[in-house]
Amino acid sequence: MRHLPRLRGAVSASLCCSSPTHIRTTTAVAAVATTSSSSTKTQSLQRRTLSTSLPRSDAVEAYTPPQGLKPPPQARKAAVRPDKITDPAYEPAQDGLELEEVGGLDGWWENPDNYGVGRQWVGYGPAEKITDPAVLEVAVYRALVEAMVARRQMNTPDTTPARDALLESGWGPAALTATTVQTKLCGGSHGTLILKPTEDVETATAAEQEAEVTEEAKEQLEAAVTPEQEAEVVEAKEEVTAVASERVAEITEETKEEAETGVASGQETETEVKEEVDATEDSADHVISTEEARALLKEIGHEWKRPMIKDLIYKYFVAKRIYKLTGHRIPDGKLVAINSGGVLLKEIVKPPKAKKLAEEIENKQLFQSLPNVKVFPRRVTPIDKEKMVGRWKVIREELERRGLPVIGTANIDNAIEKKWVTGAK
Amino acid sequence: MAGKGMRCLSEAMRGLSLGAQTCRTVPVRTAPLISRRSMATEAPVSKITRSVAEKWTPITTVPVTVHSFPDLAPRSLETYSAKHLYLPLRRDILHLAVVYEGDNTRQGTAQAKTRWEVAGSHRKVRPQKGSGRARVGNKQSPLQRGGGKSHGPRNRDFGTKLNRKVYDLAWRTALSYRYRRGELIVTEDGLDLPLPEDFLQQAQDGLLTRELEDAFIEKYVGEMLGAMQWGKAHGRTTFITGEERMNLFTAMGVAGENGRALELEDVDVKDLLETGRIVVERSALKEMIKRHRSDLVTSIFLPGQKNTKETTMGTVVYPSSKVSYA
Repeated sequence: MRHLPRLRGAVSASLCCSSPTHIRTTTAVAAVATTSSSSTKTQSLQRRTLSTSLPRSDAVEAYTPPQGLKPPPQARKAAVRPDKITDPAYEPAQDGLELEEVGGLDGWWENPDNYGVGRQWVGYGPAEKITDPAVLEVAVYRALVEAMVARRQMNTPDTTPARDALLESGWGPAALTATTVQTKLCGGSHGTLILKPTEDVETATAAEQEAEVTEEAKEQLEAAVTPEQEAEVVEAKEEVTAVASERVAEITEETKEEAETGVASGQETETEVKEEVDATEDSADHVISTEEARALLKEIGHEWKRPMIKDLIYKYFVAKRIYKLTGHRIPDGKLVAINSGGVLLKEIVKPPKAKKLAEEIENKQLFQSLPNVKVFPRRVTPIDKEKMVGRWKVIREELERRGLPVIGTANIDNAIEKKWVTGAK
Repeated sequence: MAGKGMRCLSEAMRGLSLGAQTCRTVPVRTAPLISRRSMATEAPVSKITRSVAEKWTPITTVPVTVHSFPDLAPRSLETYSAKHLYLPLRRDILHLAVVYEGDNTRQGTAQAKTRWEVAGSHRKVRPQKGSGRARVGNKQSPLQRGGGKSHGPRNRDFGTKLNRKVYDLAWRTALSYRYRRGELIVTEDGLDLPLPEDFLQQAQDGLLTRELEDAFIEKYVGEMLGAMQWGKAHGRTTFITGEERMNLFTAMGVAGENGRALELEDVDVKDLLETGRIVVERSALKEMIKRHRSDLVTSIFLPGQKNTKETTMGTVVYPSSKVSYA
């Protein structure tokens, strides 16, 4: 007896979109949370979400429904009755095994012609997680840079579409990774991660390192500066802010241009740009290779791993970006504990978890020094023990010679006397 | 001679005793600072203690990313109080709650007839004496075949009690346990399973039999959850929604080996602890916490007084217009 409600039809599904019924806690905030993004547009269209908002009108025009689902033939053909058969060569089957198997809809969907193609799940990140440590490290660094740019943009009004585009874009051409990675990250005067100022800024006073991510640091700095130095610091701050905003604008411009045209770098000349377009036309999303990643890692260095990451929104951007680039979803519970680039990297670059204890022990090379400890991947059976001492072959031959079952008890029951003794029913 | 010798000895001993010396400074041999070093291998200073000067700032809020479903794109960021989603694991409290729920879920409807409930005449089966057989009363006796059952099961309530505050703490502890392990995935409101349009159309047009519908859903959901690493091979998934969603609930009923779907009203602590992960829509999560925080908020309201124990729940951090950046 089934108690399941049946599927909602296509027409009623669209109707239910217009009148969503939520439980009473649904507030106005829900509207904020249900903003759809451009990158997942096609995905959300391929699979219809019945109870969320309707697809956009521009998307509907570009939408072609998936084809390929083949319903079973509706007309059924019945076999001719034995007494109506005119074929003289016909011989009726004597039992069921002789019958030819025809028809039936078992495994109908196992045939790709019936099931259709292109129904696999498409997630936010790549289909397969990246596991190469070098590539992961580059991806993490790139995510840190891009997320910081996005975070800085948040003060500027009307940058939400650009920010979303930046955070939700894929790897892009290979040169984009190389360009992005050239942006240096380092520790600020309060130990938080910042974009490394350019050379002329570096030569200035220590106070002008103030390009911190958090407001807290800014306040602390202000508290530490004496009124005499204040004017100086303000000047320095303005300078740094200008430089930083230039850098942000530069990166944003680069990213925008590259996202739109697939061009590697905005600094290149037009002829180079054209060549680059030709070269990267067919490789829109280029995940860098291990060799490329290793070369980039030499440039990146290790300076970025130690400084603190405190800002929550920045962490969220980083996690989102890493998920998009590598397929590693950083759980919120882990996000709490991540307080530096190094910790973040350690969280992502991990060997796959062993499924069995024996595998874990083998991977960690435990008990190697103990001569009296052996680890087996499964239970050591009596047969295994006999094999270890080389007696199993003899036992097997003897059992076979006597016509006894080698493994198990065949059809031989337990001794009947056992019942009499124990009184079991 | 001998006595004098003894006296001398005892006097000498007395003179050496500590009590005889009224004030005695114990000579302490202090080595110069540079050479003060033990011969043993020195253990590194433990990091479990912290400097008093260092200010202890415990975590007060924790982030929750709201994802879209099924592509799991992060859409927004909210914060919840650490008392809601970052509680330490208390196995004892979880055990209390699960046992309490189990007790209260028992039907307790088993009942066997006693000798007084078995129908029939209460006539004496045979005379007390003279038959050569054992004495017997009536045929309802528990000793007789077809007689009543002595000490059989009776209808009763197996329910036990648990303090509301303990139960609520257990509920949030279970959520926190999932959160800490990264097994709590929060989605946008309206969590439902999108099924392919062409399939829905054909199902509505009656082109598919019920068996074919089920087979399609089983295959589709199995492949989808398998690709997400949420399926049978990864410990199944529990979906929690505020109300019944037709496609999701039907699909999870058919493809039950890959997970289950529950309405908020049907969820209890044990459900939160089962399966590989919990996928819950944000409004359902908020409602869950709202219903289970009796130890955090006071039920006594005085005019003009704010509930000071109230903690943040689902505050949207991003996207928000109020965000500023230094």
